[in-house]
Amino acid sequence: MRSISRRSVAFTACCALLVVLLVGHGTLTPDPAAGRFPGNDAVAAGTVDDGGRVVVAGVVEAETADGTVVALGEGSRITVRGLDAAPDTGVWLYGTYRDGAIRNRRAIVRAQWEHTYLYAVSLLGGLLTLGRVVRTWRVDADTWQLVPRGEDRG
Amino acid sequence: MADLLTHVLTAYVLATLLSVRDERVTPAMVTAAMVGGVVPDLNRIGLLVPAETVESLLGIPFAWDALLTVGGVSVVVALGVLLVPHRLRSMTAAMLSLGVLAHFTLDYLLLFPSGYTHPYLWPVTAAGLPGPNLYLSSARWPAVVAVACAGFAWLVSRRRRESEAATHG
Repeated sequence: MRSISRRSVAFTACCALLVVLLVGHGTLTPDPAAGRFPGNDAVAAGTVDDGGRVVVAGVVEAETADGTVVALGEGSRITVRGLDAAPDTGVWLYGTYRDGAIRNRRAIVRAQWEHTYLYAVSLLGGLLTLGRVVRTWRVDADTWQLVPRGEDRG
Repeated sequence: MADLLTHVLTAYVLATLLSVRDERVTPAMVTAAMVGGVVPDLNRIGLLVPAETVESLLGIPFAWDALLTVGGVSVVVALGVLLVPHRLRSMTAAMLSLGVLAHFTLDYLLLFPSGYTHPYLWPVTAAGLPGPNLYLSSARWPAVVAVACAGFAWLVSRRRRESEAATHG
């Protein structure tokens, strides 16, 4: 009984610590000197300094005389200069923000099917692991512990 | 993140090869390593419940990406260890950590447009690391290599089981 309550205390403390970390990470702000650059939200809100470096992700909407229009989500879009990408491809790019547009420095351009592949194969990996967990571990309802199948409880 | 299939198969390969040398690495412990390979990608919960939704509900900053850091995974591993019997805790911690370490290693090699990785070492440091930028998370070849290696590891493991059965039988 004593060990169970000690385990409960440790479990609760870990959960509390996890919440602290989830909140703490949410307080991180962009810091280009530390490799953390303003993203979609800052660009959409126009709060990036002229000449500041940004990393944004979106979908190419159209090619115009001024540059490539990239949709950033939630109705906002930005013009990117120096980007070679066809409409409907996904882009994840690093560039310099100037006069309401971005000068592309390096972009990762991916077709939509590549995103679909990534999520489909990841789902397969998740299901494979879940299946193995069910096959090799079981819940001991008496102690509320996970124990390997085919072994005595400890 | 590289694709999750690559991560869990990499953990499977490493743990299965260890099981040939160390009988404490049972099939359940191989599974623990695979679960460790999943842990850093728990930040993908954000695809189902966006951090912005949690922020608006709680009224405080919030980021699932804490789970993709050494701080976040350390706590999740500790939670996992607390779920198993005392006698299995050190081995479970080792196997979960093996999967986590393999995951971070593969993710560190990924291509990032800025050249800096996610701040994996947070809260030790909030800085992104300059990475080697070797491959894209959506590249197909890592999963192909991982499947081939997993097949090899499975064969090695099966041969060992068969030779053990012959010895004891």
